[in-house]
Amino acid sequence: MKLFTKNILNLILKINFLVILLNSSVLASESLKPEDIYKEVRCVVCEGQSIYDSNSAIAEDMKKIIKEQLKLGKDKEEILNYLKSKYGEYIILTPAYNNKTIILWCGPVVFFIICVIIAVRKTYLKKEI
Amino acid sequence: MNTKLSISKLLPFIIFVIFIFTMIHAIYNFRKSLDSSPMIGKDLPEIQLKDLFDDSQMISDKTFPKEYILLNIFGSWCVACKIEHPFLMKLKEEGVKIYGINWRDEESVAKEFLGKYGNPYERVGVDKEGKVIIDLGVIGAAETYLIDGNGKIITKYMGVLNETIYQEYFKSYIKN
Repeated sequence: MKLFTKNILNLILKINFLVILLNSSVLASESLKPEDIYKEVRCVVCEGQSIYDSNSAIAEDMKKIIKEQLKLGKDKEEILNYLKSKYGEYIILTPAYNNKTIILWCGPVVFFIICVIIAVRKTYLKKEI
Repeated sequence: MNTKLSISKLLPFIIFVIFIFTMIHAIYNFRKSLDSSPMIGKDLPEIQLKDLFDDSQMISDKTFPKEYILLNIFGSWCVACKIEHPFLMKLKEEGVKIYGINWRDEESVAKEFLGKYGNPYERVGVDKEGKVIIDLGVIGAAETYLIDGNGKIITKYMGVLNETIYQEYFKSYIKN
């Protein structure tokens, strides 16, 4: 059981590391295209779409504003922060990892771990019997 | 013994239900940011738009009167705007000052719209590119903002403005 718990914790740490690595700027492209930002901004009148995928009026105007701001030398973080200041966190398709969204990020993982522990314990207890 | 077995069997279901409710609550809170608008309580962003009826003049937030006004986002293409338009005319007759931002229209088309259905606005600014629209955090037309005499955004309503909505969202602020 102790070995099992140790293995599970190991697996979680490895998954965490992989997620951090994928998000890191090491893998990110150095030249920022407007499309890279369009794909991260939610279309506020569509369900689950980015402005990249949407032809709605507000999406088209947001794309124009983003292009203009890039030309003015703003970086991705500044542009996304600007949009967040106008529309709130929800404008960003991928929720930020903070105190307000920790349940969104960790909830499913924690739930999965609990299910695995229950399933393994039931199997383990059955075998012992 | 029997009680222990029942709890053991129910536990996964209980955990699942707790998980579902927790996730629904977290997602609801996350989505709320779009409905509540972070612009409420903030000062109006800078508005510098050409006047629809006189392109040598500019509509500016600096020249809004020092009293409660409504700032209404509209377009001739907007169905909701057509529906609420008679109510805006009624508000004008009652002395409510409404300023319009015309979004994504050719000037001639916007003028034709107002000529046909009446003009409830003190003045109308032209925002073809949507710069002010996004600065305000507009989701879509029709949308109406209540601005106080100091240029602060008090509240906003997304959708068709009617008597009920006006009384609920705006009148109470103006009364106070």
